[in-house]
Amino acid sequence: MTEVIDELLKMKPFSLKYLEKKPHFMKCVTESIKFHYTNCIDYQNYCKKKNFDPNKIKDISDIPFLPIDIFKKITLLSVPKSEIIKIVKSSSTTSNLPSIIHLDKKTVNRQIISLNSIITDFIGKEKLQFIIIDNKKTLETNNDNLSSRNSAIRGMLIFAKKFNCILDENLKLDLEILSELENIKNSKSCIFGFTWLIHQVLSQNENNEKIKEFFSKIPQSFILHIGGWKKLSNLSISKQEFNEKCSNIFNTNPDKIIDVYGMTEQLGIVYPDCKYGNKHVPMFSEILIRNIDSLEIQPDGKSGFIQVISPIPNSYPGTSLITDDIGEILGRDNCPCGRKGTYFIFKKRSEIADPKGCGDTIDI
Amino acid sequence: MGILLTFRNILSNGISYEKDEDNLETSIINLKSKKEWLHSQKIDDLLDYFDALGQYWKNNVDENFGNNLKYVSEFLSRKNLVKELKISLRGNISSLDKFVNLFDDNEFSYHAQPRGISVHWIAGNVDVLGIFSVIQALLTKNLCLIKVPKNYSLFKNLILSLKQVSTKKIDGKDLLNCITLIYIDRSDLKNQEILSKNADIRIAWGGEEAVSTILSLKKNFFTEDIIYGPKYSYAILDSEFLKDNLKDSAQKLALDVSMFDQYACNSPHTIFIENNDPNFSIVKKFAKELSNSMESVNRLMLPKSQTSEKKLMEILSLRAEYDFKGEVFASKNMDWTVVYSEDEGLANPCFSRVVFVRPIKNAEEVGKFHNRKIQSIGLGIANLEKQEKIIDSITLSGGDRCPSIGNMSKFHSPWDGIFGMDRMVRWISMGNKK
Repeated sequence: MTEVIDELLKMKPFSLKYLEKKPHFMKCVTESIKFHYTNCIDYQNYCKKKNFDPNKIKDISDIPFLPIDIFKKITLLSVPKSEIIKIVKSSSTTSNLPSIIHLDKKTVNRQIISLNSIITDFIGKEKLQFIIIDNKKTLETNNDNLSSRNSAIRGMLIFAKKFNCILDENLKLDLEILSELENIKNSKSCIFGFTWLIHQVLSQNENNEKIKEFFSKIPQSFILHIGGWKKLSNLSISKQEFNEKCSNIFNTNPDKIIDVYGMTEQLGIVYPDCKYGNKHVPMFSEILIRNIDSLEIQPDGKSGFIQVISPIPNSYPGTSLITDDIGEILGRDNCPCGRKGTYFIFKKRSEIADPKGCGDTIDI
Repeated sequence: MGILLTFRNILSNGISYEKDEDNLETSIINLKSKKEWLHSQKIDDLLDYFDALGQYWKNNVDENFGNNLKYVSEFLSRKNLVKELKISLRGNISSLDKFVNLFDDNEFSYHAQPRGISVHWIAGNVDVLGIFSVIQALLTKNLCLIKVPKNYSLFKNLILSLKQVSTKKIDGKDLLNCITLIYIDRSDLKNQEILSKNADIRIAWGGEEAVSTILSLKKNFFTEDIIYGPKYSYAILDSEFLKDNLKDSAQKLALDVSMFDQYACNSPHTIFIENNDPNFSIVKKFAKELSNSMESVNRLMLPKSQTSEKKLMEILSLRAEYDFKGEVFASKNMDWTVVYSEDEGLANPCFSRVVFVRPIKNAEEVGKFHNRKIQSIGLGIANLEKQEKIIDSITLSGGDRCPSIGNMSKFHSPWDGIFGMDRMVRWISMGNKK
């Protein structure tokens, strides 16, 4: 039986205006929420505590959200355990625990369709030669700490006709591997990696002429980087500086450097930057911005916590999640890049520091 | 060329500076020159002065600093300070001025001399608490070199206001000369070490990381260390007590939790209710009542300070977690959270007005979670004999003070198991027999 979400996934990701998309999206989200409400008793109880009735959804803002951290603490399933085919763990940068996400076949399929649809809108349908800024062992290992990188890279390989990982085991640029890549010089390529790791490699090789020479022969690659800026926050590097460094070493136009926002807790949905630096919300999701103190919905142009809503998760109730990222909706349907729907940017966090003092015990 | 290290001179010689300088030693030499003057002051005159200062703060500053300062003003009353000094100085406060007879000992007389320079590392969260150690140091005639936290304006204003008060014998301006305020970046270990090496008493208010750093600094062989923090506090009530005091207890504990936004060592994070009802009905009822009081305290008495996005998300995540495995009573926004659960033991502190209410079958069982990190145990036990038995049992392995609920933020000696002023003096004995 075809579900409404499958129909949604057939649509082009940025083809409908915000208001045109709304009824399609609402229908899918309502179906998704009803499914989780019926099949995950813990989630049902949570909804009841929030006085939420899935039969009375008027707007997506009515749907209670779960903080993305919840998957670090509690296992929530909406399908029998026997249907789980894959378990993905997030990187544990902000706490010592990773999020653990259980995926069934249906969710994985939806993720693939969604990701394919969004990314090809940015880099085109032609498969590219992928240069992965990572070590090949990241793809082989089942080590928990690496699994988020593993799954992110694997997800992207659907866009690759061939790929090469160019870092050694110490995550340093492996010049030997690079020298073996002479044959790719004339291929259309895409450099892909985690933002912090790319930054690390750029910093280590700022004056490395060999690298510059190698990339100077590769025509204008796309650079896709994911994983966010949290690991770089103490270095206070701006996106512009990062792009300049990337452009200089990898010999590409800053327009082709795409920062991709996404999260393990809602895999398959990504929010890439367009050439105007705006992140675009595809058909298969929507975002809301909530005031950080009152948690009320913020009007466009005001910043707050980013809430992501997508009907893609089937095996776990991850339809409506609130993140700890701060963002601001810039507009709808009118980005000069031509993509329709909501677009937004990340905002810097405020500099309020929580007090530390005599009550600050590390453990008890 | 070596790295030029600077510190910010905020107050020296009674003058407010706000100036970056590179020679900390000069400030310390200046401060040392006031040693004789402070030593020559009589304790009675100092008590008069601090009593007047307490009155001044109560009348002038209270509005700006809310209830946190209320306790400081109470602490400064002559009556309270005499009691504090007597407890710390073996019953005779004149020992600070001269040799006195103690406990009918005719063989020796005794004099409490100041140790010299007291260096105070003040924690950012509870700068008002730091005032207590400064007052104790001045009362025992020790000069004060104070490393203030980054956000020091409140602390500075309080100290600067000393010059607004004068009594018959003491001009506040002279007393202010005995205090130097500086700001040093926490990564500037070189200047921190200069502070430490010049300290006769090191008083550290702070968390685990800060205190460890201070303790690792070089010091003189005879320097006395007084460490306040890092500590954890909680409260125990029994259902018998709650029968008649449910609302009152909720109000008092809401104050204890909200004071200092729960970042102080004396702020309760867990409230245990001893209870044998398998439905825990009184515990749940108390949690609900506490939530009402948390709202009132936040609205009417102690509005919550600004909180970082990171902490707000932590609270949100914790609320969701306990929505699944317990019960959450929370403000519509992120101001306060009461979490009811039947989990065992002390809850990990979240801070920022998040308090856990948990049933316990036998209050004495809490003892098994005790270690030296436990500071205050707020009490609401109906039977005094039972209370004493519980406290004696559970404090064997930790726990420093057991105030009644509502008084958990009220500073008194001993604090963290220490009679502070006793540690700030050197006892000199003098033979009386010829």
